[in-house]
Amino acid sequence: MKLRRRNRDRPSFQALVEHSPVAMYVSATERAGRYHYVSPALVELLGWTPEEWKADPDLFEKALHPEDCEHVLGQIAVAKANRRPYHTEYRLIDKDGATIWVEDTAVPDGDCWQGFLVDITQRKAAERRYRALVEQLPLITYIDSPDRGDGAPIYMSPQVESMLGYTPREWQATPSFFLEHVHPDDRETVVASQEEALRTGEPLVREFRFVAKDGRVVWLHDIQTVVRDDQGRPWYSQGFALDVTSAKFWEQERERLLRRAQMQNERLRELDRMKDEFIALVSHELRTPLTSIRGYVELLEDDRALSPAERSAFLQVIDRNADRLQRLVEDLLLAAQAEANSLNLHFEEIDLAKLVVDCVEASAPNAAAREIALACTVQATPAILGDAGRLAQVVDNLLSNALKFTPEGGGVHVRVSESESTALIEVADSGMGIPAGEQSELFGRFFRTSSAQREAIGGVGLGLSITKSLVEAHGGRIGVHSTEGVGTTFTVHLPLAAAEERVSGAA
Amino acid sequence: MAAWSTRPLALVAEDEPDIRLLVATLLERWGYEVAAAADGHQALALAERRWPVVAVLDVSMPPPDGIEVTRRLQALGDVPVILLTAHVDEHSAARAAEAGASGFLTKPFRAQALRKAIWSVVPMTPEAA
Repeated sequence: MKLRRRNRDRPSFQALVEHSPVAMYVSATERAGRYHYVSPALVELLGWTPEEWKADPDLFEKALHPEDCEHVLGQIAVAKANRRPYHTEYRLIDKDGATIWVEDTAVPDGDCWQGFLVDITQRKAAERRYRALVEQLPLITYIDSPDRGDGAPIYMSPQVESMLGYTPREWQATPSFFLEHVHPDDRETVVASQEEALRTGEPLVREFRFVAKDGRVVWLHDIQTVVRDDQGRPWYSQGFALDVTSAKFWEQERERLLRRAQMQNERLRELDRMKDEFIALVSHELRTPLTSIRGYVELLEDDRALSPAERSAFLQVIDRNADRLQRLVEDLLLAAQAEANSLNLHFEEIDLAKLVVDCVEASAPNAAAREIALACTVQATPAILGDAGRLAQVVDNLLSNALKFTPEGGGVHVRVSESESTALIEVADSGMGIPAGEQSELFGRFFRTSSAQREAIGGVGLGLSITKSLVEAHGGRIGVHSTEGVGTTFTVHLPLAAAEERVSGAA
Repeated sequence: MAAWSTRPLALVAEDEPDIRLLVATLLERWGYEVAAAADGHQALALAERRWPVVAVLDVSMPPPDGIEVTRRLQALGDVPVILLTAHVDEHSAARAAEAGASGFLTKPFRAQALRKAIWSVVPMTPEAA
């Protein structure tokens, strides 16, 4: 109010300037240091009298802080050339040698600058304190100016070098530096989050991977806020980024452990389900021969209607089913022993060809009953070391499988030969074949092929797992080749006794 | 008894030969003529041709299984079915009833139990007549 009144009254501007706490000056434009006038406040600020200013045309340049000299004189020269006002901040060394930060604002007036200096030393000290604080924090702070539009930050705190290996200068030199160094897999989401934040005006909180100078992948947790001016327009954005790589590592480690625990749980549930299925299957397989045994015993008890021939036939049925029960029980025991690695094998020299021929002959009635052509081709092989009973079981298991899965009218061919200095047994059938997807599971305990289940072909899924255990306990290996609808061939390689390199897994 | 000329027909379907013969022998003793099948297809073919008064079927035999054969026999003309199974889970009996089976026996079974099951669904059994 006072001012306005004085204005109206055309007061003395000289007095106004003389009494203003603002340091004012008038200087020659062609020579920055030539001061025509310095106000008392300026004398107060820097210590030199108006006479001293007038006496030394280079005083200004002398007072300028050496580090600021170049940019200040350059800025003034540009303003002068364009006849534009200038506004700048720099340091002056006063008469007593103290450094003073000033804000200098000047407008051209004829061949003079009319300007004023504001002492901003305290503000600068505060800024320095904040900056020092910011640059002590274990995180990167940055300021982006939306006006610049090129994406390069106007400020990057120096921690960026220790954290990511890049200097702030390096970073600021390339406008797209940030996006170029975001991990390629995260680039798309980083861009999307940026656009989202610009659109909604919400603070941006995000985590992404960043490629450090040495190639390390660093997880950054980035929080960014847009600062608005009084009119609510975006002014600049500022934010900070933390290195959360180790936190991420532990988070991922925790997830990995959790997943593993879940998988183990699923595996346990699967085992539990398999156990239930196994018990149901074993129960079914035990009940079937038991039904015949009990049923035929009942028929024999009421023997008024029975001829001696019928009586004898019924007794044979009971005997056969008792055998079947016994075999099943033995298989269960053997599977348990194989699992516990405690197969009790008694090794002796064996004529494999003879052993196989005996097995094939024993299966002949079964094959004949199902009208399956059973052929056997054997070459004499050198003796092998093995448990005769268990090897016969291997051949019996493969033979009974072949007969079980071959339709009536089909064929089963058993061969013995010497191959790759091993004794080779092949059991080939013209049966239904095994789907390729099931062949790898074939030797697993309790595994039954989909077709065995569909066709209600009996068995608990122990035969092949036992067979494999027995073959391996003899230092041999078992394999299968099968084509669906064409047939299946099982091959068993057993080491020859002479080789003496038998793996004594069961000894 | 041996001179029974028009004995009623019983259908037996069971893939285990020993059990098939057992059931057939029992049914013959009880005065039935028996048509025996080793799988579901044979059983249905026999039923369509020969109209059994009762069917004794194994649940798990080569397809179609006993449950499916039961369903089709009901569609064919309400043939009473006794199902036999060596599976003892709780679902089997429910599935049997749902398919329309009149009786359900788990293996091993007593001859007497099978006879009672048949009596309860066939009003005039030859032995009782």
